[in-house]
Amino acid sequence: MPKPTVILVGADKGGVGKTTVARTLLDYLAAEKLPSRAFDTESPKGTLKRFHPDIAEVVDVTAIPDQMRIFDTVSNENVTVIDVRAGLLSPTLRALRDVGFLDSVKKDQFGLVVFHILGASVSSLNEIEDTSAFTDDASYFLVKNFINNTSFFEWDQATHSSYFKKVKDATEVTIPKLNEMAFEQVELAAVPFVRFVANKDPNGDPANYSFVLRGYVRHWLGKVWNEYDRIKLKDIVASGPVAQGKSNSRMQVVNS
Amino acid sequence: MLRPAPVYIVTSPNQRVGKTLIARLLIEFFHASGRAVEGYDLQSRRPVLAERFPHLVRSVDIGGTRGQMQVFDQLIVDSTTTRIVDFGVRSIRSVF
Repeated sequence: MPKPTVILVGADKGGVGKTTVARTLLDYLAAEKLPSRAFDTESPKGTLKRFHPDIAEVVDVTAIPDQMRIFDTVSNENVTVIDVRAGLLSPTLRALRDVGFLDSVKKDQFGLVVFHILGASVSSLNEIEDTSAFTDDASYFLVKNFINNTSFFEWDQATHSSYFKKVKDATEVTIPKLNEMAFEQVELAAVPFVRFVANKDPNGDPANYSFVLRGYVRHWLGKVWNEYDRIKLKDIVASGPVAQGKSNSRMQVVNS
Repeated sequence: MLRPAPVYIVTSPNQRVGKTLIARLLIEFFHASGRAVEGYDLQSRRPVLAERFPHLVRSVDIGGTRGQMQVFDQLIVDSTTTRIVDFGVRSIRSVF
């Protein structure tokens, strides 16, 4: 039985695409048949829940009763994805330290994966050092989510290295930009990316989404999932420690 | 039940070989035969086909997402109307 794993998706800045990345993770886990649940911390209305109503619950991660709801039941599920509200990544990690969860991770009782979604600003990159203070025993991923044409300072090697090479065990993940119209149509459809590609509405009935936009989403999601393959995410959540060797997973995105 | 009408894509990797002429002949043939026909002019320079058949042919820029949707979202739909697509050289390069 794989050890239960918590995946935190967060940033200390808003508008960097945390929920989009969380959605791609939930689709990936479902495609890989890894049982998962999700917590949407945009209380009270929620954002992630709009796309994954069956498996996402809205919680207030700053409230102790909701913390108990999440972490007292981590052992019951293989993977728990938490879409952490903007500004709460470091406080959430601090809380996990204070309640002893990080100690349990250190003892290999649970797995912890942190997807730190970065913005293309110096202040966003400065958060890496704060967050990395809590990720010694976690799988820590620095996610460059290309929601616009930013380059994350790649044109300035000194600046780029000073941020991205500072944390020894952090791994970069690149989420390419999705066609804007395609993104907006998925927003309107309020379905998971996989269901949009399959041309199904929220009830699972045939929809009438654009063939072109479905193609853009299919191609983009394939590239995102290739990144998750590259970082051996499936091995991390399915078996605990990072497995040696290449992951053989090849997701089949459902076609209509 | 009527079979879906075919889609004709007229293209070439080379310029000035007669793509638009062929597309025009196809449209005139089907139109003269009394069959429903419509066209898409994807020539990025002057949309000669659309100018020749303003009621039957649409000029579309497939460099952008909207233009791509206008063409390809329609082409995949089964229809009893014959569709002719005049694919210019630049459009071919960007699409394929």
